[in-house]
Amino acid sequence: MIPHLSFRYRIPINLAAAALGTALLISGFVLWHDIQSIHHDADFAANQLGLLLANTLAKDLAIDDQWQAYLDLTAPFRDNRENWLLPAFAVVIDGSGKTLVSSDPKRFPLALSATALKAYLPSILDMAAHTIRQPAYLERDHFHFHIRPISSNSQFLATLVLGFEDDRLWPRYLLSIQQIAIGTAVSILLLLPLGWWLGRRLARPLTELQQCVTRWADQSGDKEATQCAVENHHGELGLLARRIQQVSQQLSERKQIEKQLAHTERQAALGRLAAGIAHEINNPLGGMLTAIAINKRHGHDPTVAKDTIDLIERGLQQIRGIVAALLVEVKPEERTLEPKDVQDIARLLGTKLRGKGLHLAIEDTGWEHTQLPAGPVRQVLLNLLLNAIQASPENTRIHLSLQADTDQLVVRISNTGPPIPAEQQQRLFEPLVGNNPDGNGLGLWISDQIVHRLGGKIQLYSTTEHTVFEVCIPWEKSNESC
Amino acid sequence: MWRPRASGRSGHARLCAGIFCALFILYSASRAASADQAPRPLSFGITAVFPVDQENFLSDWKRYLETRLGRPVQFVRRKSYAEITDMLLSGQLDAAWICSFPYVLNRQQFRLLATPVFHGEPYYRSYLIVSADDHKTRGYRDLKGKVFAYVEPRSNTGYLYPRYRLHQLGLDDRQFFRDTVFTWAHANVIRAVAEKMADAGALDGYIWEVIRHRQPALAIRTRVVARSDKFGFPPIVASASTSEETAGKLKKILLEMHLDPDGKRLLDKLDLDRMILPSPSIYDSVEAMVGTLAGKLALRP
Repeated sequence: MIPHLSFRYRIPINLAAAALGTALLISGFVLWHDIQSIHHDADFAANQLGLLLANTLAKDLAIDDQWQAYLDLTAPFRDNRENWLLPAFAVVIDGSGKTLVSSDPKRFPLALSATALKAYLPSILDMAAHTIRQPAYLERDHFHFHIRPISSNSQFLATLVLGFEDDRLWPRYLLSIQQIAIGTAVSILLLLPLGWWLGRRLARPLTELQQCVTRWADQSGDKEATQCAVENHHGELGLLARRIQQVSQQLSERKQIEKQLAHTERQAALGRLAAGIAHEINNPLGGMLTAIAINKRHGHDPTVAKDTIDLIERGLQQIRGIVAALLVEVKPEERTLEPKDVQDIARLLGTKLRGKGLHLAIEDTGWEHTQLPAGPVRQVLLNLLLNAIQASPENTRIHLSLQADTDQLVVRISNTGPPIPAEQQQRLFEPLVGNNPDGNGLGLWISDQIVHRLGGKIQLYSTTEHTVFEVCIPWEKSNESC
Repeated sequence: MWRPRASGRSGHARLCAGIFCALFILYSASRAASADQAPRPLSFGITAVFPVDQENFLSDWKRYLETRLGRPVQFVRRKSYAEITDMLLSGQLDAAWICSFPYVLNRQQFRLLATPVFHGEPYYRSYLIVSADDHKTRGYRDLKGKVFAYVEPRSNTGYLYPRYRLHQLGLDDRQFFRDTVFTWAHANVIRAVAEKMADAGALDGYIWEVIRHRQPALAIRTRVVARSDKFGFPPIVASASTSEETAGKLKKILLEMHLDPDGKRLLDKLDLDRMILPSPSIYDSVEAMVGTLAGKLALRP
């Protein structure tokens, strides 16, 4: 009905609507049945009245007792003028159309032609002449007439005409409608709140389940928080709650494993870097030792002394830079990504790059400060760049571009080299699939998990010329811009 | 040993049967004796000459008469005066309260017992009434082409007098009126006119006055247009076959009704003063009308 509305309201509203619909449907049927009954009763009463009057009047008219005929004809009308079953008038006419007796002497004066029956008097007389035992019916001018011959010992005496107004049943219909409307209103007044209450009762376990699931999602792993009353519920909801809790526990366990794997993988990446870093540190150390030796020997010369000290300073700064970059990897801090993190990664990869004669071209559109966590993004960049270095032929170029859009950061890492086969592309982000002899097969999978957790995604475009990994991370997790 | 016992048992049975038979004979004899002793009820015919529908009037009057007569009284009601008159003539009734018209037709056969006194005299009149909203009609002359309600063919004020009056005016009711209706009771004439079933009607003035007094809602729907001359009030008569003793006893009771409180209360219910034995000549005017119309009315002696 209203697709975005909570079950807490949808079920009660639906139940209330069902109650309302049922009440209206039943009322409609009762009204229809009532109207049929009214019609049937009215027809039956008209026939019975005609039969009774014709029989009674036959006895009176046979002995010419006009007064008794008047009493008998008017008896049903005494104090019952408003009764919907009665005709508007009853009149007895002779063969020439003159009134012998009537229920309404003002309208039908005695011994005068029944002119109140207007132009259809000839039709009535004609019908009366041709109906022997059965009544005839005539409908004219919002009236319908029951025409019945009055006879005694097979001798025709007179004609009884009962004039019913067509709209005489309306007050009865209205009464029926009024009574049914009151009944419907009362039942709706009772059923609506009942429907609402039942709906709320039905929806309550669902709402509880929803709250529990939210809690399980938010506080995964916390045993206390995972307790939920709806689990004790018998039936489908209890089963569902227990299954969701199982799945939730499995998920949280899996997250735990992922966390551990990510840690392990980071260690592995560092391991892959270790030789290069040692080399990075060793290089300036060699330079510095040479500078110290020169200084010892020619230190009295102020120019040489200054040069060697400068050399040592540069070497130490180079080492400090390497160590600083390394420290971030070893002990990730809870801070946000900054442009210098890119420089750090380039520095950590320096030896690896140089080892293969690779050139890392960084294209940075310029961005200041982000809300993205530095640790995970650095790990992703490091993993992808390590893969690029591994996959690149010697003396080629790796291209790293960082493009800051209004709502997302897009990182592209492209390298040349053989394309990744299509069948391998499909399973590339699964664990233990990688084809890197140095790696543990978890790098891409971990990177994919990290990017997903940040609300983004990694896409791969591999052609004969380039293999491009495109990482898209929204500035804010809730933003589905990627 | 057991023979005498057997004969003894049979002796007991015979004794019991004998006692039972004796009791039965005694009982039957007493029934027969009481049936012989119980007096035959006095049959009293009543007609529409007085408002018989007054609450409890008939049962009170029955008790009143039974107490004083010392025998049961049976009221007999019939639709028409003619039926009561026939029953009186044939001796099926001991007495009856009849209209002046049948009385004068059968004066020789009936014994006048009493005549009620209304408004101080033993007379009443015929009233011509129309609907209360008919302000034009002033008398019989204005009723040409109208529907007229009579009481019944043996009514003085409700048939004989209107016919006589038309005769005086040189009119014949069959041609003068569009239609005529017999309503078989004075009160019905009022109703027929009030409900406009009939345009006009003639009835006992005494009855109209009582109804105006006791049921004003009905009477005020009609208007009295004309009052006739006085006629002798409908009398209570005895059949020729009624014993002198019964007739005399009944006459005495009726004539003395006003003297005791119970009788007075009954008379009050009918708005009557008392009963008297008037000179039969008070009915002469009715007889004169009968004489005048003799050729027009299908009269039996």
